[in-house]
Amino acid sequence: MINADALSDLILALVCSTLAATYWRTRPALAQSSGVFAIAASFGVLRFSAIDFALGPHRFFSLVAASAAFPLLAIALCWPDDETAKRDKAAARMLFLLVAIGIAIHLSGFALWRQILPVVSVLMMVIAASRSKQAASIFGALFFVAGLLVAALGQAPEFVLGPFSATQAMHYLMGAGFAMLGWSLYSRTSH
Amino acid sequence: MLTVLIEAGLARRRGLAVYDIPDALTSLHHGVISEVTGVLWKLAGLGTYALVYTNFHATELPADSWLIFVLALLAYDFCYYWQHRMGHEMNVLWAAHVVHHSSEYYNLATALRQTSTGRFFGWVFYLPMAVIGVPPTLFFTVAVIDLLYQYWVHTELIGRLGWLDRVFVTPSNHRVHHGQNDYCIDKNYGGILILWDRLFGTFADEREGEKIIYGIRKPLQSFNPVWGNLHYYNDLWRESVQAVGWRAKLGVWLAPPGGWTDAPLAHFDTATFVNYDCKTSSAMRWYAAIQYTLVVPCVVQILAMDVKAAPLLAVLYVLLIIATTVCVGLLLEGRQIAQRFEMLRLLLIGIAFVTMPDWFGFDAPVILRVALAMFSLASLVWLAQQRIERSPVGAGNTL
Repeated sequence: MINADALSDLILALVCSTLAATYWRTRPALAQSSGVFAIAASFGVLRFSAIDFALGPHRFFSLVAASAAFPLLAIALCWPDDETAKRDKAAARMLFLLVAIGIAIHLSGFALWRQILPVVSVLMMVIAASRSKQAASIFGALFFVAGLLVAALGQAPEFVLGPFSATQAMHYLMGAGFAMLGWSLYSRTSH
Repeated sequence: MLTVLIEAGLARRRGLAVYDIPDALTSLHHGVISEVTGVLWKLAGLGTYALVYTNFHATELPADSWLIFVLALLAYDFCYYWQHRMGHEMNVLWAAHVVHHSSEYYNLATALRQTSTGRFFGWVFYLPMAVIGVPPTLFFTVAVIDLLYQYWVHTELIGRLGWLDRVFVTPSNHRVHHGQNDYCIDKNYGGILILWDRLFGTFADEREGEKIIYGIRKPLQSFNPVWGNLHYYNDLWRESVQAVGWRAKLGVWLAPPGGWTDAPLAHFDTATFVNYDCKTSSAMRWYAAIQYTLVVPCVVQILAMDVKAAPLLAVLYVLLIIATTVCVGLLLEGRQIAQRFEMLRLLLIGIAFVTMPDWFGFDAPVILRVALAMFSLASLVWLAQQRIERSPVGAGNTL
C-alpha cells in the first residue's frame, strides 16, 4: 500500500516524467535530467512501498541525479544555446561523463561531492532565473533551493510544511521546482 | 602466440599479405602494455563494478544458475555494444579505443592490440548489471567469455559463414568494422551478437569485390606503443587548447570524431592507399621478435605478482616493460636515438639481472643469470654494429 513518502515520490516522478516527455525533442538536456529524476523517484515509490529490491536502484539513481542530473539541468538552463543543451547526443554524453566522474568520486569516499554539485547547480539556476526576470523561473529555482535546504537540515521547518517529513518535503519542493520550471518554459514558448 | 604463428603460416602458404612483422610486433607490444598497466589499475583499487554491486544492487542473482548465466552474457553483450559504439562516436572514448584500430593489417595480432586507457570510462556502461544484481564473479566470467570470443574474428583467412554472419559477430562482419572504406565507418559494433547492430541500425554486410582497407583515416604511422595510446589524446588536447571558452574546450572531448557536424563523411579513396612501412631490415625484425619473446615471461611474472605487497617495485617493473616496447618500437621505425636507448637498456638489464639478489621476487638460478647476461651483451654488440636508417613510406592516404 502506498504511504506518504511513496506518494511524495510519485508526485515528483509524475512531474519529472511530464517535463521529460514534453521537452524530449526540443530541450534534450532538460528532458534527460528530468528523466533521471523521474527514474530515481519511480524507484523511490517502490522503495517506500516496502518493495525491497528497489532500495539499491533508488539510492543509485538518487546518486546519479545528484551528481549528474543536477549539473545537466543547470547547463540546460544557464546555456540553452550550447550544443549540450540543444543536441540529444551531446546531452547524453555530458550526462555520461558526469555519471562516471560522480560515481568514481563517491565510491572513492568523497561523499560530499553529491551535496556540493546540487548546491552549485541550483545556485547557477538561481542566477539564470534572476537574469530571465520571470516569476515562474525564480520561484522554481527557489523551490529547488528550499528542497536542498530541507535535505541538508534533515527536517522541514514546521511553519512551512507542517506535517511533512524531510523526505516528503524535499520531494514536494523539488516537484514544485520542476513544475514551475516547466511552467516558465511553457509560458515562454507560448508567447 | 601460437594461434598468431599458425595464422601467419597459413597466410604465407596461401600467399596472402596478412602480416607485416613490425606491425604485428607493435600490436603485441600494445597488448603487453595494456596488460601491465592493468596492474597499476589494480593498485589504484578501483574495482568499481564490485563497489557499485555492493552498495546499490537490487537483488543477489544466483551465480550458479544457467539461465542467469545466459541472461548475464546477453546483458553484457548488450552493454558491450553500447560501450563499443560510444568508443567510436565520442572523442574521449575514441582516444582510448583508436589503439585497436590503428593497425593497417587485420589478423589475430590485431586482436591483441588493445588500449591501456580504456579502463578510465569503460566500466560505466556495465553499471546497470551491477545495479540489477549480477554478482561480480559472474560478471567477470561473462566479460572474459565475451572478450575471448572476439579474438578469433580478427582474421582474413576465414570467409563468409552463411547464416552465422547474420546472427553472430564473425570474421566477415568484423572485417567491415575495422575498415576505413566509406561503407565501413561506424558499423558492426557487436561483441558476440551482431543482432544488436541489426536492431540499432549499425549493421553493414561485407561487400564482394570491394577490398577492405584497414586502419584509421588519420594514420598512426608509428610503431611506438605509448604514442599509439596517446596520439589521439594529444590531438584532442591541442584542439581544446585552441577552442575558445571552457564549454567549447570541454565540448571537444565529448563531440564525435570530426566534431558536431551533419555533413557527410569525406570520401576515402581505397585505390591510393599505401600501408605504412619503414623498410625495417630483416635482421632488425628478428631482433625485435626475439626481444618480444623475452618480454612475455616478464609480463606473466608481473601479472602473477602481489602488486599491493610491493607497489613501487611493481610500478618500476611496469615502466621497464613499457620502456622495452618503446625502444624496440622506435628501432623498428629506424630511429637513431632508439639505438642508444636500446643499448643503454640492454646494459642496465644485463647488469641488474646478474647483480640483483632477485629479479622482482624471482630468484633466478645462476645459469639463467649468466645466459641473460650473455644474451644482453651479444644483443648490445650486434646492435652497436647496426646502421640505423629511417626511410618510411606510406602516408596512409591522400586525405
